[in-house]
Amino acid sequence: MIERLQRGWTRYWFAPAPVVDLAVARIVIVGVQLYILFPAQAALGRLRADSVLPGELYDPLPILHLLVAPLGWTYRPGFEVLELVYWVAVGTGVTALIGLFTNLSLLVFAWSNIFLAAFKWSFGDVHHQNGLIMIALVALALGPAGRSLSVDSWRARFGARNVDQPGGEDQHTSRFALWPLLLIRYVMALAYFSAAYRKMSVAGVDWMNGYTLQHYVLQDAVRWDIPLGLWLGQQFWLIQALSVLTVVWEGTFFLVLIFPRLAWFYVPVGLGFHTMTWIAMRAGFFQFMALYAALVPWRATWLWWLNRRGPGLQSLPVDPTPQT
Amino acid sequence: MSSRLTGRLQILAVSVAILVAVTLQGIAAFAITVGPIERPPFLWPFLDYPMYEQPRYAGEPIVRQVVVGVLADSTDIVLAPADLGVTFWQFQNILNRAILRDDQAGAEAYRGIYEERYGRSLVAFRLEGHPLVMTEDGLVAGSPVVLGSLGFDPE
Repeated sequence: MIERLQRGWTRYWFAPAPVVDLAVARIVIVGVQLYILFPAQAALGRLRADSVLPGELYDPLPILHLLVAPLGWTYRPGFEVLELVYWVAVGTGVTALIGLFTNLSLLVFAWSNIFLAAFKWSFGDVHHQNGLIMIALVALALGPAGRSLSVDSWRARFGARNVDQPGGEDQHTSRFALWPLLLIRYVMALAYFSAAYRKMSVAGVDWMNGYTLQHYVLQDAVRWDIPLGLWLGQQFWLIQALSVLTVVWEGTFFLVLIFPRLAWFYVPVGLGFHTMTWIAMRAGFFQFMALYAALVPWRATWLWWLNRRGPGLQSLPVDPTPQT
Repeated sequence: MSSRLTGRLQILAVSVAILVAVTLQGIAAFAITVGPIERPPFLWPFLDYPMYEQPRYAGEPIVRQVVVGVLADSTDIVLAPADLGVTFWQFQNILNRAILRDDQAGAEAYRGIYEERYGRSLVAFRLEGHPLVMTEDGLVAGSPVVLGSLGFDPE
């Protein structure tokens, strides 16, 4: 029984998969998180402002305690330290994006972003847009995210290094290329299901009465002075339809774990959903949108597109490994 | 060490990481608190997602919260987050809540920030609600109400 479970687990999480899928996810996720760090003046200004807030407002998250533990469990980083960590984040973000010393870059990029975000949320106010992407960055750092679309892979291909991979893998696939993408999907599914669960357990079907979503849309539209939000909030039947769609979409997102092809529905709807919340409510979840890159079978999509384009493009080199 | 053993160890290590991550996200997502584990955001970056969970009903006003500081000479001044060098959410989620909960200790730090910045003594905060109600003619402003007030003990 245990051996069967073990084999099943290994087949599921460690099946050979195209490294290019992981590489594209790396580029999108790192790219968006790097973009979020700019403009530098605003980011550093916020860090400086937080660094001088009174001690009574400082309530470090447990993970920040762990990160500063070498300097003392209750150590509070000053602006100079935060500024240094910020530039480390920017620098390693660039190297992770282009795939130079990819795994090390990803690890340090993840660490520095976790540090900065944990500090930001250590003043009694925590927001939800960047939790999952931190988990994703760590997962990417532990996988072969630099085996494709990277300076590392080009150096390996054109240099004197042996490109053979351990365990009989070829340069296009890896047994460790799938698990980071699956893990990202799992934590996303748990997050979305949690959102739907909370709505249903607190409000029940009243959450879909139209007035609930209308209230929140108008609340944010008034708060941030958003004309589109004010207009949308007054289209009651549209709002009611969107509220039903929201709960159904969040509550069933986990189906992409069972039927991966459903990503072709959930990803566009999700992108639309988060785009709408940004432009109508200033609720920015760009990092969530970046994580959708982990749901798309990039290599298979590319091959499908090549085949549809006609015989001319079929003379281009096509990876012979089986599609996932 | 043979490559086969190395591969198995890698798979084992990664499997442990996967189980830890999924378990922590599950615990946080459903606030399954066990032993010393507290509710989110204790486990950040593993979180629950309760935003916008409260139901709302027809006719319920949208209340804009306005913080008014009362100076020692009884002058009222409307305070904005930028006045204290904090973000909108630090202002709303901490100061406003402290006023509503009559939490003097929680509001004291903000009073200190203001006094240090402007050299004037604050004796109280007052949280006002400025309601807007959705009608057939659009959003209509209602009369402001006092949601809470918090006075500081004289020094």
